[in-house]
Amino acid sequence: MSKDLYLKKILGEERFSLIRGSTVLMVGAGGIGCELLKDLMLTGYGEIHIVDLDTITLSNLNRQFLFRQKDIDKSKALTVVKSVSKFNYFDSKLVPHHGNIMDTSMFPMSWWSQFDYIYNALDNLEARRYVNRMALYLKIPLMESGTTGYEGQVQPIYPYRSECFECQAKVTPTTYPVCTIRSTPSKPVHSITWAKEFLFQQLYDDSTSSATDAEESRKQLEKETDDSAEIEHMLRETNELNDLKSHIAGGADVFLPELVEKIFVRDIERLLEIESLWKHGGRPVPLDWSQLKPQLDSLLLTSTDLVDETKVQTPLENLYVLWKSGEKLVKRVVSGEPVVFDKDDEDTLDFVVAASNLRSHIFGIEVKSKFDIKQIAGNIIPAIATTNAIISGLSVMESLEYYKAKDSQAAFSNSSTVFVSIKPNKYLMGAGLVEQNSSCASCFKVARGVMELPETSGDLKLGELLEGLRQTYDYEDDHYEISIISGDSRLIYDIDFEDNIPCGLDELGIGIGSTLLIQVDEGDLQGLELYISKGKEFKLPQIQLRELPKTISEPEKSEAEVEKDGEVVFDDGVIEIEEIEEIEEIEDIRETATKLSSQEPPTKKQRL
Amino acid sequence: MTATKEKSNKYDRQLRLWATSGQSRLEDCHVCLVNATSTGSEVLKNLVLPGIGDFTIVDDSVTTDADVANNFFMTRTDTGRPRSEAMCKYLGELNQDSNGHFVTRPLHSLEDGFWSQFNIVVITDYVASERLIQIKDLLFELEIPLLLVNTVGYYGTVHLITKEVTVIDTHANNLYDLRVDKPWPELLEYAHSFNWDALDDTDHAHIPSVVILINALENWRSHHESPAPRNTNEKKEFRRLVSLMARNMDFETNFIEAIETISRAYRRTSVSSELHQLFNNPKVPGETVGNDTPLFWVLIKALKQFVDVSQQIPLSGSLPDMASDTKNYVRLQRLYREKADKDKRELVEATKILLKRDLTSSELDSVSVFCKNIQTLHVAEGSGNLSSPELIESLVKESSNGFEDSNSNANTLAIYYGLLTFNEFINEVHRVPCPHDLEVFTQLFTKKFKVDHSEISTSIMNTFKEILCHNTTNYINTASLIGGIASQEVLKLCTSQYIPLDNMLVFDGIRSISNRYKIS
Repeated sequence: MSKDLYLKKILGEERFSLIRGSTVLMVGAGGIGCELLKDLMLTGYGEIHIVDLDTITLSNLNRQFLFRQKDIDKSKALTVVKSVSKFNYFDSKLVPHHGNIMDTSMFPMSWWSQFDYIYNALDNLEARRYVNRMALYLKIPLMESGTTGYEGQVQPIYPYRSECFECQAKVTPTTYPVCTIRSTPSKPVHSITWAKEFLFQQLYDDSTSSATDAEESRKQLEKETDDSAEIEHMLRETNELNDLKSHIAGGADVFLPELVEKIFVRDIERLLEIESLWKHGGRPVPLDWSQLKPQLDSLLLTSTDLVDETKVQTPLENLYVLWKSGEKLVKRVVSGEPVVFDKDDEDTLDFVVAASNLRSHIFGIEVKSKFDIKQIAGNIIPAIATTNAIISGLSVMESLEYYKAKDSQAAFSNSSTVFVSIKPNKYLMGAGLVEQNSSCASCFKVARGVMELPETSGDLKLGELLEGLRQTYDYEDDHYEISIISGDSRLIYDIDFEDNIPCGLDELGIGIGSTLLIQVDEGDLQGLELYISKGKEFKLPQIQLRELPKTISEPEKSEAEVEKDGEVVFDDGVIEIEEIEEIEEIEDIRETATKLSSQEPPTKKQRL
Repeated sequence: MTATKEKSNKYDRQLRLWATSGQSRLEDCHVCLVNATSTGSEVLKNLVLPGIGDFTIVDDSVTTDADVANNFFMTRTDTGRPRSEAMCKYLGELNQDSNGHFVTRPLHSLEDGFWSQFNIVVITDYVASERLIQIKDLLFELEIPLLLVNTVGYYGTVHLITKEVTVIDTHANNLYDLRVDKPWPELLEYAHSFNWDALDDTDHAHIPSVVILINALENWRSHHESPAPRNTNEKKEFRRLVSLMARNMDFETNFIEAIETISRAYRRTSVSSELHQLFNNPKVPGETVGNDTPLFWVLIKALKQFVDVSQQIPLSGSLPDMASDTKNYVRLQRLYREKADKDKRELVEATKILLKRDLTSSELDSVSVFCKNIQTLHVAEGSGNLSSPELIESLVKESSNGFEDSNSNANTLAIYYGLLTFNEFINEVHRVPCPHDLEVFTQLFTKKFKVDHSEISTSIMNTFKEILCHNTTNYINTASLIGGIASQEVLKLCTSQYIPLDNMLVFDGIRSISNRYKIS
């Protein structure tokens, strides 16, 4: 057929027919996903499964080109497949799934095992970790990808050969001490966190259990501070807020004035009484409510529309926004609608913006525009089509090494991790893959396998499972004591906790789709993680557990080595290029890194 | 939802990169694509989605099955229809804010005036040499940027041709301008306002590190000739001086911070040599400023006048986070902001005098952005050439001295010349070159670029072989990637933000790397 000619020429006959016969999974049909699907289809893949749990929103349309205005609120997975149907030149079989990739009943192990290759196009750490783990269970190669604004990255993962997604620690979001948020804020982000995580949740959001008992919250607070006056204040603050919540039913006219009076006047006045907090200045000034109230009332009579979201607003304007959004939220709560904070839910966003700005005003902190607060409160990451197009092209291109290679060693040697950036000289930088990290808890310290169990898991007692484990993996012969931990981090069994032995697995909350981690109490034997899949009878996988190399604490790296590794090269956030002396050094590192990646074959040890 | 609000929600994720100022410039832009290729559709897709004002596709050929096989924005039912029309239709559906146009007339029939309606022109793939030169030279004179974009197999190139690029809002990492060595009177007064011995321990631990450094430097100067520590010994001494000011170096985070950021005290407040160079640029207007003088150069002139008087640049006003209490930090912030505002007002006044008129609000915004970015302004002189003797020289030299990667069979500069020769071959032979054309291909290369056959190294030859072996343009994955890069360049030029490519980029998909070259 002539239509295949061009791809056969580019990819070679053999590789092209492999791709035609290949079934692949694409997780995520968002920014990268839309681009990736286009590239996969025009590369001629035989069967493509698309999974996404999300629905389409307006802010997707600036880059997710398979969606239109009319598709808003529809399922992403179903919509992409529908909208590419007329462009399906190679007649790829497209199978959409609207659901959460971590849903084990919708996507059991047997479903996963049909795939030859997995492409991640995800936007969150949790799902990425999950897919990485599934790829490890089944030894399916995985292409990890991600973008942030103009920056992006693809990382091919060959399970147990190259670094897996968890081999390198990932940056986790910053948390703030409770006291900073509740008593002594000093930055805009503190006020925003207060408004979103404390105030909003306490008042409107019933999905999180705010009604923890008093003793519990006191204990929590005692961990954070030993200032008893401050603890008393915080407890009282929360109690009063809970009392106030019951007034919502009385409508906005009653509720809102009480709310403002309490959180911006009374709470602040009482906070000021705790002298120990203000020893070094930074005293807040309660809102001048008696003066602002009449001004607000007259403003409320006009229909002001504060359109420009990038403008920083006055306290009065913020009060106005608080009022307007508060009225709507009260109505929604009274009508029984569940209300949760969502950056795309205008009422909830407005309320949080106004409340946090009023608090900032009171504490002499910089007041921010709605546009800026939205980014912080909603964890918004900038995104455009260009970077996604670059990354998706790279993603497919790099994965094709797998289809070309005769063995995993060849695929490993020929593949690269590639970084994309806005820096004028560093559009793309590739680096050879790195071998798995010997301290990785996901792919090195733990072996993985699938354990089969009939649906009636209750027939199997923990005692029988223990017996099976000890025999299959020679724990007994080697005198290892083991412990069993369930996937949700519950201890099921260890030498000092034998209560569960007579229980059936179902009583312990373990069934199809659960995972179990078996570890030896002493010694350097690999852990074992078992995924429970449906089978005819109880069956454990044949796995030879390895002894782990004795952990030798690595000598601390000298500064020079860190530079050579080039770990700092790509992350703008990490480099402070403020001081002249430092700049030159950084330039040098960049130079070195470029030379390494552009003129020499990237060495395996080169960590990028 | 109001129209403005809907728009700001739709474009929210990109407004965080280039703000409303960049967005409104993008919406005023008209981009032209020559040749409705797969790479071209990728370029336009990435511009239509963020809302470019207008796009025009120029292509006189009809859609074939081969086009449909690699271009996502064409379907089988389009075969036989003009390519430009088919692509325009599907791309137009992506965003109603963007107006699509197509032109099916052949390039040679388009009069010169046709081109002046565009802000940027992108040419993908082959255009007859004679025509290419004509359009290129015309656009260069009109100062309309031209992007030449080529893909063959796993290779791709992007070349920006334009007379001059100036960018104020480079988004480069600005250095904090703290003036520790030259505090202005108000800052100095504040730095002197602390009664160190009288402060209790908490307050002592909240003196901002900048204040510590200002005082330490003053103290140091009273014992030394030089205005700041210069060598290792002096720096060691200065470090000791700072730690002696602390009550407890283990607990006072502000003093720990002062030591960590001690080079802030070493930094000399001065006008960089790059700026002096800019002041001497012939583009800087004399005493009389014409109506057509670009604002950028008027501002440079105003800045020169400012520097002549004060020997300093206007303060940017931004302050890093510091271990301090709110009161002191806010006070410090206000001091820096007030000084920055004052400097900016002076620059605005100077600009008004130069222009002999008031500034528009968008010009005022530009001055604000200018003041924040003085240390990272970008100016690049372009050229209208497709090749240069220097580049040919480094192609021959780099590949012969064994500098290249021994495991690889290609070098990136050879990719660029290979792709130029690829188009040259089509021009001469009227078809795409194949592996058996290697000899003719090489001859064309030597003739066109005046290279002796003996100078062609193995790596150049291997690159040429690779090009002839995978001799298809617009392979989807290369097209997606190169289209992404090219459209990113268009976005930078449209929004006047970030630093555009200066001026040629080669992508090597076999090694997954890119390299940049400057063609002078």
